Amino acid sequence: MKGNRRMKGQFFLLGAFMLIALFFIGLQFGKPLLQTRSGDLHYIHENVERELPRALNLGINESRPVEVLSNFTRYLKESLYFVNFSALWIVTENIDFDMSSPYTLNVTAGNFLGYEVTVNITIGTVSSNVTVPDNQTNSTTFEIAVIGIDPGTFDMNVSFDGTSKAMEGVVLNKHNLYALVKLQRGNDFVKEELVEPTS
Amino acid sequence: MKGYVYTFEVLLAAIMMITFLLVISFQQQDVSNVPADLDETAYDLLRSLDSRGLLRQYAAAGDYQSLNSEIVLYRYNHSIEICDYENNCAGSAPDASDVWTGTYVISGGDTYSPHIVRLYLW
Repeated sequence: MKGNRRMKGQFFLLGAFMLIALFFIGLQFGKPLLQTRSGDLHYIHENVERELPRALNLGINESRPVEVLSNFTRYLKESLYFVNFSALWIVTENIDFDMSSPYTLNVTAGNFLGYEVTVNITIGTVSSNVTVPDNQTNSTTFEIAVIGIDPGTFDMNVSFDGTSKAMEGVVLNKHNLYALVKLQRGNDFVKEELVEPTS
Repeated sequence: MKGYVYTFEVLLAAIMMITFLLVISFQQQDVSNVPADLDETAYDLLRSLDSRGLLRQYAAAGDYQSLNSEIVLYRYNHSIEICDYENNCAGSAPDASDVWTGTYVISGGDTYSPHIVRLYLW
């Protein structure tokens, strides 16, 4: 009893120390692994996400979708010199003009990540590896018999460089765009995916 | 005498906690006093012009004056610069200090024609 009485004041001191210490320890653990969006990166990213599909659409209108998208991605890289912009995109295009199963699907990967990447593309049960040097594109074709709940769609899985994306119900008769866009400046980092069918 | 020591220790603990809370609240006030990010305001203005269907036609034509006249902003001066794929620019950056810049990249209007539009606020 005597000991407990003697500790009364110290208990409050110790409590105050512990609360303050816990606060600062909590701050350390509360830090996100990736920096939260800050400064201008998030709206630059929003701008890029709006314009990439638009560039593909303009390219489709001019019957050169991959060429236009590649050109525009290079333009982004040059224009956004004040941030470290990098991207990888995949475009699917049905090139079977008689529109009868099995369909021939052209899949093009554009790599603007700054290093060579091997992209694994799986459609249904068929898988293909496409190696794409930096700042270039590479294509492969798939023969697919369209199966699934909706006959006009297919499922595709894309994986590269530690990133994997499963896309279900990809529309066969449209150009489809998957893009991974990264923006970095110092410790600020934005990395987001974009999946979009085009008109 | 022991009672005074206990009281002193409790007071010391209370002072530590109050000081700690005051320091934190002052830090929060400092953050809230940071001036608004006008880069983002400039970007929002450009995006708004795009949503209204004005930005792309003026950008494609390199008509920076008409684009600038569409911007209504009373508290700040503003100017527009439009650069094409070859980095030929119409309009220019202001010769002023504390200039905020909003950057908007477009792939084109009806045809592929990439441009970068910069709105300067100062």
